[in-house]
Amino acid sequence: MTTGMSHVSSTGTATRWFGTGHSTLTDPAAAGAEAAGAALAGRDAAVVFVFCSVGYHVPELFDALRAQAGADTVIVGCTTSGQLADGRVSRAGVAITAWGGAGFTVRTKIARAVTGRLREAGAEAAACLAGLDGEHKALLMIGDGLTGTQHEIVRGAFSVVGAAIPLVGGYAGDDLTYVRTYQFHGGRDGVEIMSDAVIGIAIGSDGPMGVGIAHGWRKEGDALVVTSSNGGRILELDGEPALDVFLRRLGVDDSALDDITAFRDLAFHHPLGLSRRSGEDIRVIHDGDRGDRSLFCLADVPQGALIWLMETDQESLINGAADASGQALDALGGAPALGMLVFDCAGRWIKLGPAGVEQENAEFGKRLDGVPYGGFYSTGEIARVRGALGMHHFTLVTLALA
Amino acid sequence: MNHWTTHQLTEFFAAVCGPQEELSAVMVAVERAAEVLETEIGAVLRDGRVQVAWGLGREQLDTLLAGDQRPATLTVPGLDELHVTSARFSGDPNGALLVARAGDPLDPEERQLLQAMAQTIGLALANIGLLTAERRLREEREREATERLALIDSLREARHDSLTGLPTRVLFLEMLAEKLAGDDPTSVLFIDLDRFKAVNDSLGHRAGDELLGLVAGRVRACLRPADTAARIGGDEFAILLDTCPADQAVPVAQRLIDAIKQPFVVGGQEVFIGASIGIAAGPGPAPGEVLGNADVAMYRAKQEGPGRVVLFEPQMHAEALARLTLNGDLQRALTLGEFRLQYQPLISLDTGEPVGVEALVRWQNPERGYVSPADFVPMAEETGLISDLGRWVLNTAGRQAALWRRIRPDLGINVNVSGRQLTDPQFASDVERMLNDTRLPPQAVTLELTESVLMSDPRTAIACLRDLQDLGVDVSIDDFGTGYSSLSYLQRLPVDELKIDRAFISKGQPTTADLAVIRTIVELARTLRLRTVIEGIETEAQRNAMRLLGCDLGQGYHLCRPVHPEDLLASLSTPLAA
Repeated sequence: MTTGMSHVSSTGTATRWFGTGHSTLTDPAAAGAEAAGAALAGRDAAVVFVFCSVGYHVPELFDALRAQAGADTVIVGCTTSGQLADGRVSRAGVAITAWGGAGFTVRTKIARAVTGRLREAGAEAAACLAGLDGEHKALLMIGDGLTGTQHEIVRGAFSVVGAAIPLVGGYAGDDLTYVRTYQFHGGRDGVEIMSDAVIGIAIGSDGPMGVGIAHGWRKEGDALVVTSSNGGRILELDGEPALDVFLRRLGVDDSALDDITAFRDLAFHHPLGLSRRSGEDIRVIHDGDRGDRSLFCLADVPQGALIWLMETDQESLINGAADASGQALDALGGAPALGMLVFDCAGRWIKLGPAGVEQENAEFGKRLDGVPYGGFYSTGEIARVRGALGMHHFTLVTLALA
Repeated sequence: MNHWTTHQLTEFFAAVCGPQEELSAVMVAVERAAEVLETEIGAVLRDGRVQVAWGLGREQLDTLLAGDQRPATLTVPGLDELHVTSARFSGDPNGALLVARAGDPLDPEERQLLQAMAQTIGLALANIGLLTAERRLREEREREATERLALIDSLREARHDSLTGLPTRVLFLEMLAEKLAGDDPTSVLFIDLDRFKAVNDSLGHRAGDELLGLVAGRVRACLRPADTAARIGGDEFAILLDTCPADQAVPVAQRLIDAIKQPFVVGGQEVFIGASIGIAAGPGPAPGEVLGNADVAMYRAKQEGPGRVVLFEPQMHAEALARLTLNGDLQRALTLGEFRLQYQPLISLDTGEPVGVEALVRWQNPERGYVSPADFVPMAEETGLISDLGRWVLNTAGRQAALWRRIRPDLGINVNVSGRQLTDPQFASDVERMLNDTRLPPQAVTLELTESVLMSDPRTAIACLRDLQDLGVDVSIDDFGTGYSSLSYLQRLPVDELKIDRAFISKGQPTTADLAVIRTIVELARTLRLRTVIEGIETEAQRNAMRLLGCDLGQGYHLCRPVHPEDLLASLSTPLAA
């Protein structure tokens, strides 16, 4: 196994900038050229984030982007379950977010073949922070969304980074099919397309950075005790097979499992909330097993935990966008925001629906008031500013740069 | 009460009790405590030192916490002021769980939770300590049990053959002793497989092992439940026939031979082997002696030819002893230089001129006197000494012939080659080295092989003969007509000469039938363009008859007796008796 490390420092005294571009053209080269043109506008970027749907032939897309990239520009990104930038959201398309100018430093490191060694991989990717310049630092992570207990990757990164540096990021998606996701890493000379990887992107900046986090869910009905679980597999709730309890609570029978897509949709509307100091930690139910009557989540649900089925409404979810944006901006301590990266859970998209997503996007625009923003709909969100917990689900995470 | 702190304690307890090692449990505890209480830093302290830290480097935290009084707050670059709270483990006053949180200090309920977590860790660690001690004890016991089993296995292995599953010699003798302690007659069959070595050599040891397993199966199938089969070693088996006198054992032995004679399929090939069996009976002699007697009888059976059954008789021991002594003497004879060569000319029946000489090995032992080749050559074959002896004969005869050829440049030399020599992978290079050393032209050398050597394994023989043919030496088939020659093979064998066995002219005056056989052989040889030599010419009448039949060369007392090398040239100059 190898790891890749690249490094870029933005040039001298150029004005700091943050740009976004978005294209829904179907031709990958044309889409890449259009989004990159808008985001870069002829400027030398320290880093370019590419978030695109899985349908693209990405080498062509990257060829078009690379033609506009600077010699030291770092290109990172992943496939998604939707993306947003330039004031628009899309299920099929490409969103490019880039920044550059004086006082930015970016260093990256890739951990490959991470399945089965998640904590180690998280620590490995976090090693990009070593020797990073800048008064303010953050570790951004982009990982494969299908590698198992994602929390372990974050714990591994935290073991290296410590409490003094914020963690932020999201896990790649594949338009909610959960088959295969891709991660991108490279520069003007070429971009590697990977799966089963975690990319650590250490960001150094002369200006402050702010992280925001919100979900907009609330408890529904009585609490349940996880009486038996293993990682993300919940075997029993209150001593009964977990699937039976879940189906009964939703008032449906086994036939709900006949169509897995329909079941996931149903489960998306009723995630589980784990009792935490600052609220509830959300877990999305991904599957139900008719054989052992268990429920399967993409993140761990500890045995002994007290959980609730969660509910929300359109308004609460949309308010989450305003909350997360507001928190990130507030954390800049009064410094004017340059731009904002968004990691929005794909489950929220399903819950919101197309119209709701548009409303959410409008809420970002309203709250940011002209500050550019871009990001993607993810399969797990990373955010740690306070405390030691950094893994979230069904959540909206933002990173604002000044 | 549905407060989050209570809920978290259950999770925490489940997580901390998971690991089996103390350090893993401590690490999980620190991580989970920091996550649950949303503290930036978590740590476990043992004896005032940081054992595990989370959110900050261990050494850095150790430095920050140093001093007599544990600080209430910590200052870490990049973080707001951190409020420190710690709680002692239960059952271990030197252990403490510590957290440090930026912003709000822990409220009373959180401090209570921390206290509960610390107590949980204490309990979990005590539990792990107990379990570890228990596990070590169990592992120790398991190890002892494994060792005991291994010992039993090795003892069993000593008493049971791992290849065939049959009892070994040790167990066989124990069982035999038990039987012999009673009054009932008990027979022991000693089986030695015929041609097993050839299978092992040609198909490999794995095939050999497979064959032994199959033989064991057939042997068992021929026996009654009360009888016992054992593998004594190599390709030797022993059978204990319960309540069975020796004479009744003979048909059983015959049945075993018949069963083993049937083809075996080994590695996808049909393999034919045989068995020779010796039988001895008790009670009377000790178990080891009965088995030894059966072994001696088997040896005699083997000598009589493949597939024989021989009952032990007391005088066989004396013979076996004699053979043993002979073998010892034979082993020393080569080193002590007791072998000599005599040479017997081969005479052209047409011209009366000697065309070559055959080297004949002789053994003169100071105590035994002259020992006939018929007595020692088979033993040398059996013990493998024949390879060294044959090499000595080849080199000595070659050197001698090279000397004679200075005076008689056309004189050829015939050297006898045993089957074991022929199949020795070194043999062709031995011949080549001799030719190089003596500078003898290859066509001056004829290697004599008996028919049985060639016919027992014609495929191997042909391959070996080809190597010799490539060297340019001639090959002769000795004692032709006495074996079971396949004439079709004769056509395919790269031979140059047939030596017709003396048996056909053993009578002073050959009969018409004898002459007919000889004529057929001579005609056959002519067709195949082979030289013919008739052995055993002892009278002028025989010489004439052979000449008239068209035999090329003759050999025999009438023509010239075997002579010592120093006398040879003189013998060759002496005109033949009329």
